[in-house]
Amino acid sequence: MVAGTLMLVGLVAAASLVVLLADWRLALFALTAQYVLAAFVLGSLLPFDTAILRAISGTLAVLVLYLTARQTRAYHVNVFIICFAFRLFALALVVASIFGIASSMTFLNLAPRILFSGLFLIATGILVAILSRNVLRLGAGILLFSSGFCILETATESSLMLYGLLNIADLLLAIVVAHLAKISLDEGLAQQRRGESA
Amino acid sequence: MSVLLLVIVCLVAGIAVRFLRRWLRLVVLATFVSALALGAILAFGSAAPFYFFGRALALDLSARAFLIPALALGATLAFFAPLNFETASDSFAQILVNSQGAFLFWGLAPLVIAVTIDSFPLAIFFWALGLIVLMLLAQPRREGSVGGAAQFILVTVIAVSSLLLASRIMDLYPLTPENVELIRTTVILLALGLGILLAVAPFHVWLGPLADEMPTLGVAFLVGVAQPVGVWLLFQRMNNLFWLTDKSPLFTVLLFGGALTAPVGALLALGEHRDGRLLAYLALVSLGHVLIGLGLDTQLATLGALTALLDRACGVALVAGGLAFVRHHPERRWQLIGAGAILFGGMALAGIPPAPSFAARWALYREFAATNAALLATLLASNAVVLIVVVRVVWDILNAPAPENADAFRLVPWLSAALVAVLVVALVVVGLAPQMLASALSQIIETARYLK
Repeated sequence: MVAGTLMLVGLVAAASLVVLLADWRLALFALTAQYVLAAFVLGSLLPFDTAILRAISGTLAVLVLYLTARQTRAYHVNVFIICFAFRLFALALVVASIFGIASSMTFLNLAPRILFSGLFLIATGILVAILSRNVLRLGAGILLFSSGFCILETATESSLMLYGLLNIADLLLAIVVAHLAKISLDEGLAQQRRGESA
Repeated sequence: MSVLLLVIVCLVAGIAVRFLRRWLRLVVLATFVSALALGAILAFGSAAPFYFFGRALALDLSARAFLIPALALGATLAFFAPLNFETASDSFAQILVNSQGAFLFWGLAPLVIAVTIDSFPLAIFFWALGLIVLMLLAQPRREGSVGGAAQFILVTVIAVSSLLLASRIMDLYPLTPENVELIRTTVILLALGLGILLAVAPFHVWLGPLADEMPTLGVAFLVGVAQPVGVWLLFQRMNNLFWLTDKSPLFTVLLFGGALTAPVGALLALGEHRDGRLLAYLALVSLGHVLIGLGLDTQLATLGALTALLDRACGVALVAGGLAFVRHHPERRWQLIGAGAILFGGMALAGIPPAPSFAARWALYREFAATNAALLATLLASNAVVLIVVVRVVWDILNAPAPENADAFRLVPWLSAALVAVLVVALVVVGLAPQMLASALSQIIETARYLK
């Protein structure tokens, strides 16, 4: 029980850091921690050696984002459209709303802890995606969303094939996001060059 | 095994086009050979299912009926791709432009699985996979903003999550039929998921920003080949789950969505001058008709909806091909061919005879003309707007100064022009004798037990 609560607190903290921290290295580290904790949450629904797949695929997806961020100099870009205080306020609203929803309603007879974990990651993912102006940070938001959905889906559906495909989908999402980030950088550089030559 | 072969051919075709991108004629040859191989597999391939992790992938009658036009149009768009060829270089963006056909073939592979697999959640997953693979074609324009393609990935993930949850509830409802709340939740989740991915108004807001970053052929593939997979999956679900059509307000939702989407698409197209957006918005009008046809819940209207879906894909392919001619080949001859393709494609999208969409819309309008004159007037006005927009585009092309024709023979534009001619002839023939298409589609309609 205590371990479960600690895991939940850790999950909330890790996902919150992705919203709050502008530094891309720390945000990716928080995203990795979130994947590991999500794997532990999934461990209560699946055999542990199957659940750990989530941490492995998540870490690989984060690795893709990390390598791309290094190449595209993401650390020079202001990644959010609003300042820290507003992000904190938005996050507090999300936490309060999801806590209210998870404690007052049921969805397909899911345990409140599972429902809260899934919904919180989904809501945080959407929040990150809405607030970011950087493709890679938006990618982190999408991965948070998909992590939350994976918890809900695994809790409601017993299909191992779908679970495996969701893990593969995370890798594909990371690759496509990385591709878009690289292309947008190339286009930006090309525009700069055209501007200089003109 | 036929499904596996189709997937392998799509993947290999993509790889071949990607590696041959510097040699234009070889790209055309690879596309032609791949299209032939896909056609041969569809024509002669076995209908026996192929099992993958316990799931059956079968090329049955209905899957074949969907895949024949889908793969044909996918290959057609890949044929048009070399028209956009720019001088070969190692720039990342230019590599993408010169290998557009590769991404179109790669996008087809997951769609083939989505149409043939016997599981709704897995079909949804592979449909989304096809859409995400297509995003590799996108070219974000500005650093410092997330862009339409990245936003589309987010909305795709949201929509797929919604559809997968809907699928789970669909499985659960028969176990607790007294829980009618599940029906309502299913319809809400289905409407959200399909509404987003099909760009049904008011969920169409992602379409414009995405179209800005996608090549025109990519937009055509999205709306002409990839989106119809969603309509197909919905049709299959309605066939399989009688309670979904009998006890839920799904038909009302479809009717309302269609009635809103057609005029919204027409209004957005009216003020639009950007190629990608224009194409995407024009296609919304036809999508509105398709949804209304499905929502009317009669055999004739469903037949009209499926015909309109097919016609929409042909129209979109023609407009995209025409735009490829116009934007990349300034000589007078190619401008005229491009303008002709856009005009015929636009006629198909507007439901003007001899395009088959005229018969399709006639079938739809007959079903509600007597009871809902306002809807009829709205749809007719939307069609008129589509025609006006298309004529305006063609007029601008014809009045723009163009250099005289060069003497040098250019194989790729001529082959593409021949393909345009084939598409136009096919549309005219089917438009003059729509019963040919109707008799083929009626075999599928007959399997739909829910229809009145």
